[in-house]
Amino acid sequence: MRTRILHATTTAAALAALAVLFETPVSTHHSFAMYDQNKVVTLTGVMKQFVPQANHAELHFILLAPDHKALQKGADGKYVEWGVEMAGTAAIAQQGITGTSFGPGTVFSVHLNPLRDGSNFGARVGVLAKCPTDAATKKPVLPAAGKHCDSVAGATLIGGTAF
Amino acid sequence: MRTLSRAGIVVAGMLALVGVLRFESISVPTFAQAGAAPQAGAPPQGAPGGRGAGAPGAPGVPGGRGRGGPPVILGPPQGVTPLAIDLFSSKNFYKDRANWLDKRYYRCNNAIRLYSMWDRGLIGPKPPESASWGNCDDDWPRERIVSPYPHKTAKEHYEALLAQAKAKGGPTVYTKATVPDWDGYYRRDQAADRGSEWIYGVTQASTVLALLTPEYQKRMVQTAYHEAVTNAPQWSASFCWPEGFIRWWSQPSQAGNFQLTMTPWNVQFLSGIADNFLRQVMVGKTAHVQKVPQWWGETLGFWDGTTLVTWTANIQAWQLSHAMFETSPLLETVETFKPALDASGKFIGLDHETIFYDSEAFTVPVRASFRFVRAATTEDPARRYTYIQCLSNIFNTDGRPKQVTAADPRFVDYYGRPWAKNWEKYFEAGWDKPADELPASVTDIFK
Repeated sequence: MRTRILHATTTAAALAALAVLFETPVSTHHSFAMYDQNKVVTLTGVMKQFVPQANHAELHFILLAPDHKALQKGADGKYVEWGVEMAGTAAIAQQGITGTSFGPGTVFSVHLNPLRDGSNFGARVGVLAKCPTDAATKKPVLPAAGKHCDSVAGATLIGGTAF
Repeated sequence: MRTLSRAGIVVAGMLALVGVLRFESISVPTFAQAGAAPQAGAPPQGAPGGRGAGAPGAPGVPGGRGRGGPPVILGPPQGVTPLAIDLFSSKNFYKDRANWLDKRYYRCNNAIRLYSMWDRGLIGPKPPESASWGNCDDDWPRERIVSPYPHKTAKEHYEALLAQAKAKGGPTVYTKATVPDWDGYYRRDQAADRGSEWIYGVTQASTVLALLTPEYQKRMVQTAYHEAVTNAPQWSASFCWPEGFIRWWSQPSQAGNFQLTMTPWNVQFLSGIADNFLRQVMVGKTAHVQKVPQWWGETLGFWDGTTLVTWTANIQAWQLSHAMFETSPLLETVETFKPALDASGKFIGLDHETIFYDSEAFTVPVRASFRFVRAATTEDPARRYTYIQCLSNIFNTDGRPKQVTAADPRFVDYYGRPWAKNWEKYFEAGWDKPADELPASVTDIFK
């Protein structure tokens, strides 16, 4: 987790600049000043819950452990859960992000602006990368440690052509 | 170390791309403005709450949330002398009333720029003193905002229009078969200048302030200060507070992108993005029925030929927010809806005019006018209005709205049996019961 954040923070400035490439205008119902827009964190996790709110849908997910061989747990022994908010449910459905396509167990990677107070929640920035599913096992194909879903052959990029 | 090495490569590659694309750095210096720097009065495409929204029922705009480009922090325009104390340097804005009507007090930022100071990074690297300036020449004359009509009250205005209709043999009465065929899905015409976007917040803040009574000036400055300086916006939709009548004219509310249903007795407008705006024109009623404050007021109407004339009263006092004004319980409106036709005479939308009467908040009645374009008729199989159930986990935390997570006791998991959480917390503590587990579909990926 620490390594992942460090990695993300190091690339933050470049990603923030790139973010404008991939974003499309949507209307918001709240200020996004609560998010640190100078920081972009890249996370890979397993979908726990799709929250289909009309104005801002959310993906709630459990982080993959650094070796990508288990789910990440915190010092308290609980799974490390993050959430990311996006555009409204109807809007992201146009991109193929629905409760079905992002059901529990879906593995994906996302860039986000985290909350300024450090809570595990953020606002999506740019492209999502969804890991593919193995045809034989019907289970997601996970990226190698230190990589994200975009590195997996057959991954689906949502919202752009480069993760 | 391996990660850092990879990061370095990634950074180098991305920065190279950034260089090619000529993006500016996120950290920006303050630029002096040379003369009248061109500057749009409206938010750039991609700004939060910015333009570009479609009509209700239209396919939504996909993607993550939008933002404008990197912020540019502007210094005072050439020839403009900053005030010694302004909104961004004040220790107590109440003491600065003498300067409230000076556009320099807001560093010439319009309401849109004020409410997005923090969101768009316009506040600069050392907030709040580093806040950017706006374009001091970008403004509207007062005459373009105040009502052109002589009426002092909405009732007087409405009755005058009704008298005009009666003089012509009206009001016009329609049947189900003859009511104007305006049904469909509309959006505000963003291309045509309909002359009224002042209510979006595109004029100098001081210009709007000058239309308000002293108490409502104070409230507007307070709103601007806490949105632009303390970064503590209290937008209704953040907390799922009621949107309220006046926000039908707010650009961010998207209430102007509506579904319109026509009947002889009721003309219904339904719209919204964070909450539902339901406005119903009771055609033919001669008096308001419920004479108590209501979030959307109560609207009467009559037809004068193909013009729908309405009078709304009994409106709950509320806020436009977004560095703009509040309204009082005295707010009433008179509105007209007229068919807009193209050169061939084909119906393309509605020309809408509103006169706002609020003698407690405004020093004079003011006017707003839009064109709403019919984007689709009811026959469009791909459109429908999506009813909005406003749900929020944003709470004021140390005075500022903040999204809370499941770790916060205020968090409500709307889609996770919140009622059971209550029972488990208050009545089942310490019980021996099955532990909550992640769904098998989550944990099974490693099996």
